[in-house]
Amino acid sequence: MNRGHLAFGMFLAACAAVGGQGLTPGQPAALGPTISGTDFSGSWRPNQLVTESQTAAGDLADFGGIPLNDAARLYALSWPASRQTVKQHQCMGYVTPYFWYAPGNYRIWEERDPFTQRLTAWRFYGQIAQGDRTVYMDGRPHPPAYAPHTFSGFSTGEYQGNTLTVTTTHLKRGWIKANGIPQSDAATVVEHFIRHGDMITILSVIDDPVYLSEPLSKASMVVRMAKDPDAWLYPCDDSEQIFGRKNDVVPNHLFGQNPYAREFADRRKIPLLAALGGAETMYPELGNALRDATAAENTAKARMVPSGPPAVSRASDPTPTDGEIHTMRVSGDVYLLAGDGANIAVQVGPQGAFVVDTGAGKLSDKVIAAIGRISARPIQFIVNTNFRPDHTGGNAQLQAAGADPSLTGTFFSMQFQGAGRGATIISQLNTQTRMTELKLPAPPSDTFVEDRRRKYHNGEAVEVFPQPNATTDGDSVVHFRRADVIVAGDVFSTTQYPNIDTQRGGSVQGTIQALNFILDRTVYIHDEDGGTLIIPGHGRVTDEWEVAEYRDMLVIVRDRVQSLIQSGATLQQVLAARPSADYDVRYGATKGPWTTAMFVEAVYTSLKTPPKAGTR
Amino acid sequence: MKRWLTFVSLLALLLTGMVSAHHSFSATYDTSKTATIEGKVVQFLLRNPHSFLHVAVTKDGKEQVWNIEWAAAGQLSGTIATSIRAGDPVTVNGNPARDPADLRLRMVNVRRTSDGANWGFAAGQFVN
Amino acid sequence: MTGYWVSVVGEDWRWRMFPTRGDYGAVPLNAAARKIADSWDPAKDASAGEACKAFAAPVVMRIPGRLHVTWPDDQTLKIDTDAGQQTRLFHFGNPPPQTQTEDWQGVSRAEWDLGNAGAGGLFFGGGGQAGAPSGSLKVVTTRMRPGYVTRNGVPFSGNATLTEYYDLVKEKSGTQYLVLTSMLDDSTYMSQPMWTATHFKKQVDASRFNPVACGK
Repeated sequence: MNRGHLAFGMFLAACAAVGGQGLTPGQPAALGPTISGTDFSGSWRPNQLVTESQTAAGDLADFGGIPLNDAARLYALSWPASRQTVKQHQCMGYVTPYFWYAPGNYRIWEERDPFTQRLTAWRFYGQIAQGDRTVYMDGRPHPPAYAPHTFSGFSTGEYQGNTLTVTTTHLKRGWIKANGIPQSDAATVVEHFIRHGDMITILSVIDDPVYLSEPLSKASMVVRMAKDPDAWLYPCDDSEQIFGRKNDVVPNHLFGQNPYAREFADRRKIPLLAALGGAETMYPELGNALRDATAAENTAKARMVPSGPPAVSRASDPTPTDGEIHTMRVSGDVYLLAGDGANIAVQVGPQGAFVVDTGAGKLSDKVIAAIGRISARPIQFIVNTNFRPDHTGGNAQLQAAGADPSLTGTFFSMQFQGAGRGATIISQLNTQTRMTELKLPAPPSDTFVEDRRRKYHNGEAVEVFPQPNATTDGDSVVHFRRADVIVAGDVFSTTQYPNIDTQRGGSVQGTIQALNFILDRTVYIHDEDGGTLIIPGHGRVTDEWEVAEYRDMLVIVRDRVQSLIQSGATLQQVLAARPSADYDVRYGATKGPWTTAMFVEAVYTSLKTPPKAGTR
Repeated sequence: MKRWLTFVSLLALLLTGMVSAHHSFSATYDTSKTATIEGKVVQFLLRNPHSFLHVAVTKDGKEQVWNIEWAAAGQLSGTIATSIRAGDPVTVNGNPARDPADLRLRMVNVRRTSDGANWGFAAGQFVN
Repeated sequence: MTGYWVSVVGEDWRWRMFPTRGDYGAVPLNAAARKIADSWDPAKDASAGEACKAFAAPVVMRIPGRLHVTWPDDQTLKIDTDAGQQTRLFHFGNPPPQTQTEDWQGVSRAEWDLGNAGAGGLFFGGGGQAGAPSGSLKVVTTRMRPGYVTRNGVPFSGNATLTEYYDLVKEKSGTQYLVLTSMLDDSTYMSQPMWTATHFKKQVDASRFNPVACGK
């Protein structure tokens, strides 16, 4: 088990202790009622008949029976099968309920408390992608929104009569069908398990506010195997499939240019409008929509390109807004502090805290107090990943609360009165320059230009890498090597499009390269799950999967804008074409400090007039 | 001189087994066609769930590296896969990628022309 | 279970919505069945007065449509389908003697299958409507007039047995689903029993219940 999982597990255990039993200080927890119900134990295989009818992958543009919204349809139509040759797509896990649509074996077993023999969890194991799910039956709460997501998600269960009902959150972005139909990381899935003899019927209900216009319900079945099949592994290793491919290539079809969009409909003699899916394709009234064949065809064609006003994100922002600082151990000695602007990362140990970014400065007292609860020693170093006030607003207070022994009481400082006090703030040179220009308080004093800055701190190597012309000309990412945590700054976010500041040296290409830089340093435990953890500038902790998704999004939007530029489009025409239409439902905004229009303009500008490479 | 591609239309290959329902090769490769390439092995990656053979082919004086998707590591033990090396001359037949710009094939069969060692001609030797 | 339900075609979509001759998916039909199915001609069935062959018990619940479920008496559960205007009668205890030639819906015997459920559960009504057991509704149907098991002409024989389990699921959102697990056992035309899973969503009223006769 890697440290990230261990940390996450410890976090979950803490949640369970606090949330699962309703503890009152000084009183032992009550045992609570026994949980009993249908036994699902055993080895199972998919009911071949149902599974083959519900082809897990599906044909290209085979979307019928799925209530996908316009954005999901555009996403799916822009997906070519060759996307799977991209390294991070070669071995990926299965989200539920897709977990049950694989052609492999399943094993289900109970976990019981060794002393009370009470049921505490159900375990599901799926051979394909080696999915390993735990369904907690003890009423514990689900983790906070900023905790990492996995392909298995976090599941709790309860019996309703004979039926086991399982609710799963914290799922990664996965597939509804592996032909491009996405299931977002905002989805909640409820599964109802009903056993009849040697069959389990599973009714799954996917509630995905980002990509579905209404919940998708579907039934599948597994059959009990009398004998353990002795076949449980599914090793997967990614490889360099395509020689010579650059790392900013993500195969995609431009809007309206999928050459296979009609293939399934034509081969199966299904009206295109029906084949392209949507809620109406699930119900008997579908025929009404198809009565006028010409109108149906026109509607289908219209749905293959963006239309309508820009959408906004339908995913919740996990950043706490309760005026408190929330602390979560990420891995090893590295913690996330969330709640004051951008994410703050803190590494603790006997040398004192090493902080990455200081937040907006509105809750610095609480930030300092929170650090004090996890670190016995003051803050020694602070790294600013960029100049923005939501990352540097706490510089002054956190610096003042800190102490860097290398500044005082040394050979170099003894003869100087007023030698530096407080923590030392480190950044790429341009971040210092920008903060000075903008008169932002407590700019960094320790800078570097183009080479990594490295420290060995609290027992691990800490590297600070400049990212030229990423979101600004002064971005850095920080890698805590033993904890294997990367702090990405604004290069990566799970809540919004990257804030690319073209006025200050930011560029879409530089941001893509920065994301690829991160991906070149990550290692997952299994099938894009776990391993190296990444703290984004905003949003939840992730592993490499979400960084790859973000990189893909940026490459694809860039490709679309580039194509429009090549066709002679003006900025207004590019904006009107809505090149990010399939992602706006996940990252978009129409108001606030960073909107979709501003993002698209930044992509356009940085393609039309790329910044000079490197520093100012 | 290395021969270039020859495209041959064949009957659609039968995709047997449940893995086909999951993997959907037809989305990635045109299973109704077979292409032939001749060249030299650049690299062989023994992997799960699919191994990959990279073959350098010269066309119009320029070298292209083709990527051939092959069977899982477990399926290939004891076959030509254990002796194949960079530099081996091979002829490969496979289903071409749906996107003609992709230099990819799904392995149907391969023969090392120096000694005749091959895969894909015997029963049970197919990519699923 | 009483009330109106609409099929939600989230599974086996193209076979249920747009059946075409020769496209059988994973139905385990044998050679004899394939020969019949490959010559399926709905127009021929209609002109022979057999349009309702495609609405027989094994397939009628798989056709996109709505159900109206009632208890005409304490020992009988009735399902009316708007697709094909079919009526299925599930008899608790011994079904009444067959007084007419077998029809497409056969003779159905119902019982409550309690499984290992303790208190609670979502079915109220037992040994018929009265009582309060919990579990599934199990229905075994035989003596069906030979018809189709799929919408595109895969046949079933007069020897077929259809076993169905109906389960009710209620979500925290209030949405109710009726989950139907079916097994058709017909060695005449199937190489193995055919299991399918189908589900329905509860409707608030009859407003979209739209009876259409077979073949229309």
